[in-house]
Amino acid sequence: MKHLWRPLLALLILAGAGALAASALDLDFRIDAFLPAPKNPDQRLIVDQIEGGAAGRLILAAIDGGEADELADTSQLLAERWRRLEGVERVDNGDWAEQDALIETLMRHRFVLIDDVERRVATEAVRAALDERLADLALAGARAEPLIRRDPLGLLDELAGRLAGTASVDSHDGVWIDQQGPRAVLSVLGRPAAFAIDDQARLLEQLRASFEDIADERFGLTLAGAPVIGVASAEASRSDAVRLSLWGGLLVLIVLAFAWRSASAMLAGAVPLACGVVCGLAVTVLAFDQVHGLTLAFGFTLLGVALDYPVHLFGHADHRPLSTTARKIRSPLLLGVASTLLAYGAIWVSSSPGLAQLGAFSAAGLAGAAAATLLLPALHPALPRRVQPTRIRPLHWPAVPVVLGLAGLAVLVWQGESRWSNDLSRLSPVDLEQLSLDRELRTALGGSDVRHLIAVEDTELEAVLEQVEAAVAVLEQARTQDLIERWQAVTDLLPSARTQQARLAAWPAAAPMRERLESASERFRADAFDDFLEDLSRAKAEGPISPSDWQGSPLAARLDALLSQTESGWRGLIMPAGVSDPARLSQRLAEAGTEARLVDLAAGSEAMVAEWRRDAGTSLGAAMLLIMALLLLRLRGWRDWLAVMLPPTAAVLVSAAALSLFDAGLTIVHLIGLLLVAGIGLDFALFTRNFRTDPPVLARSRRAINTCALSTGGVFLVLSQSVIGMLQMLGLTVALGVLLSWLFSRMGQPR
Amino acid sequence: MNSGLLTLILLAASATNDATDGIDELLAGLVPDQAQAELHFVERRESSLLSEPLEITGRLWRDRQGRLVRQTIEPRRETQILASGMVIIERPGQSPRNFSLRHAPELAVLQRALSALLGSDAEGLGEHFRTQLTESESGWTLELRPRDPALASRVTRLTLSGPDGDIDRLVLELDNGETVTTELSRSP
Repeated sequence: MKHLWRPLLALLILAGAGALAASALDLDFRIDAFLPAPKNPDQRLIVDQIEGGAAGRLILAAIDGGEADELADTSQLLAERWRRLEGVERVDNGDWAEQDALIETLMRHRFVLIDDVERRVATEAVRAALDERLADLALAGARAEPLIRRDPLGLLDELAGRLAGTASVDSHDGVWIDQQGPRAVLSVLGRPAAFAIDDQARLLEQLRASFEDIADERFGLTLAGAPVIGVASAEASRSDAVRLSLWGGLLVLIVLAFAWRSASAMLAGAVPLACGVVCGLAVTVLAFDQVHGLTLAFGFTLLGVALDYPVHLFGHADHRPLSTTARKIRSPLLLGVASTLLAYGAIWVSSSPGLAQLGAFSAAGLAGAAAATLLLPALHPALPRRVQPTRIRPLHWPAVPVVLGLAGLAVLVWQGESRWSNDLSRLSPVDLEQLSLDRELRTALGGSDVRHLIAVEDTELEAVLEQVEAAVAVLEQARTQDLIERWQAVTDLLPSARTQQARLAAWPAAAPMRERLESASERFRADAFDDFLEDLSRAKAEGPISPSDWQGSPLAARLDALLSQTESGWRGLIMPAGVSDPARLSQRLAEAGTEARLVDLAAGSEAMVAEWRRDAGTSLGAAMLLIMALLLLRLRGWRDWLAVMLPPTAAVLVSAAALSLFDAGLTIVHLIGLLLVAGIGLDFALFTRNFRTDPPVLARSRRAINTCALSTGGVFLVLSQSVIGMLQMLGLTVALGVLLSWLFSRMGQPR
Repeated sequence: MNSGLLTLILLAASATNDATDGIDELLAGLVPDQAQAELHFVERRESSLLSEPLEITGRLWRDRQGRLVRQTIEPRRETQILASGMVIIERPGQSPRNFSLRHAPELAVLQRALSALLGSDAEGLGEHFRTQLTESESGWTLELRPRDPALASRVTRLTLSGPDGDIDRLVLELDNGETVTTELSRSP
């Protein structure tokens, strides 16, 4: 009992400190934390697009499982139900006829949004328009009257057709139906802010519940969009963290219970780990404002290695006091820790905030755990009760790791650039299926290619809009040569003030307009269009519209997606569809002297990931060199140095080759995993080499290494079962690397 | 709207027949046997926007797929095609638009009446409408009132009439007081 209370007390104190640090945590679940920090406007644009642009509150929904008619009905019913939910600001299902607010907004803005005003107010055009209105009356009678009174020239109809016509989704009975499927498509703008994950989750729950209420079982509802991704990411991080840490913890408990067979030793063994967690949390909280949820998930797993330290300590214990053992293992332990710290320091300075946090957390955590391990004898824990081995049969097959390592190197060299994976979406913590669904629905609704965007940036909004208009003029030209099919431009909704003023000026005043209408057709009464003339006078008086005029309307989300504020000013977008020759189109834009540039999102993101990985690779490479130098300095002699370097190097090379072949190319996550492998392999090799001349100690050392390999390898094998792609990659890499390190350190010693 | 559709079918169908006695017999006499026949119609609509009532002229026929086509010539050329719960509207120089009949109660009423009449389905007619047939020496009058509350709230009554064995007039009364009268003939 006397061996229990000190470790218990230490753990309680650490738990208190940990709770304090955790309470200061400000967790966020944005998906871009592990993406490279954008370095130029194009990269910023790419990252924004991956995050879902400014439309962080937009949820996309698809209903399938029936005929187009039934889907249209369900879409209408559902839209009506959803509009009544408190957390919903707006629902759009393509049917604008029932949306009085939208019609009113378009009515108000039509005079500045419709182009070619001179042609439209010419007598001939007015006559043709009034003929059309007679046809409307013939079709719909009195129901058409209010609309005709207000809009004899049919501006609203044309405007709505133009704005709705850019969606590639077909309209069936006025509702968006994607004929491939078929499925009904809806968009929902939620009220909760993009980062309010709990509110977002509640809203998604309500949306699904309303669907369950009204739709019968044949129909299925799919939700996508930034909120869905955010909630899924948070939920996956949480549930995965809980599930995996339970399994991982259980595994470690079983291994240690078997290895030590002492409750006191196990309690004491938890002290360095707890100390590591507290140090890691404290440093991260102090160094960063917000901590990404995944940083913690990653960080805790990396800290699992801290458990190796007490394993080494207890593993080497003999009949002498524990403090003597601590002194004995201090040298190899500190050398291993120092090397690992160098590597994590290199990640700390990474340009990706998530990685930097990870580096900080792990570096601080490991340092804390190592210090706690060396101070552990002060807690007077009981020693493990298992009978100690006295000797092991040494294996001297250094050729095996040498040959395998060289083979791994050869594979990596032979693969060339294809050993890397530049797919940015692999670095998102979210389920890949969710991402592709999101892109698919977004494409269906946005009607644009996913691959290309035309962007204009400037400090002034007006300058951006004028540049976009210039680019649109180029696109009009390009369309005649089949370089592009269609596009959505920010200026469809918000023309430049200059253009708006020109259009307003081109509209005749109310009195001359009345004369024109009267002279165009005698069949209408003189006062038939008073409402229209009133609207016209008001529009002329009000002048140009600004972004805020769209606020609260169903088109606000579209404007948000096309126009955003950047750090240095504004960014306007054109979303093109059917770009046949991007290079020529890009050239056209440049030749015309516009500042608009065609951005290839796919190529841009690949280049960005490659560049980022090169950066990270360089700092990791530098860290490696430093580690080698440090080891050479401490180990006195090339032979020892080579013996220590061989197992981790071979393990890293073979793992890298295997993963690049069988895990679709290496990503930055694999590199982090390999870094961890190098650290663990180095520890194994240092201990093996350090005690090689003392057979009983070497035997104990080997058993400690077995325990470490079993617990660490097992924990990472558990991690490789994660639903989050990044954790999966990390788990697989480390599990494989630990296995190889364990093998190589056992057989790789030269005689 | 589309008030001519029904009439076209009925007229196209009308064969000379002896005095009708009850709806069954009336229907039997009106069933079409000349699917390709074409009918001309003149429809009159009042509007508070117009100085004089609007006169809509055009023709009606059934196309090869059995869909009903109503083409107006005045005041403007327009084609309306009625098929399976939808109406497709085509105007020259514009892409066709389709709408569910839900958005057009008048048309839904006509379509229901029509399918029942076409199929000589007195039972179906009775299912969708309260019917009242009056016969006189000069001909017959059939009054239809929709049973579906949604339709009844928009369409008060549809009245068909004609001389024995033929139909030449259709009156649609809407809840807002609007009355659409369609005269039918075999030649312009």
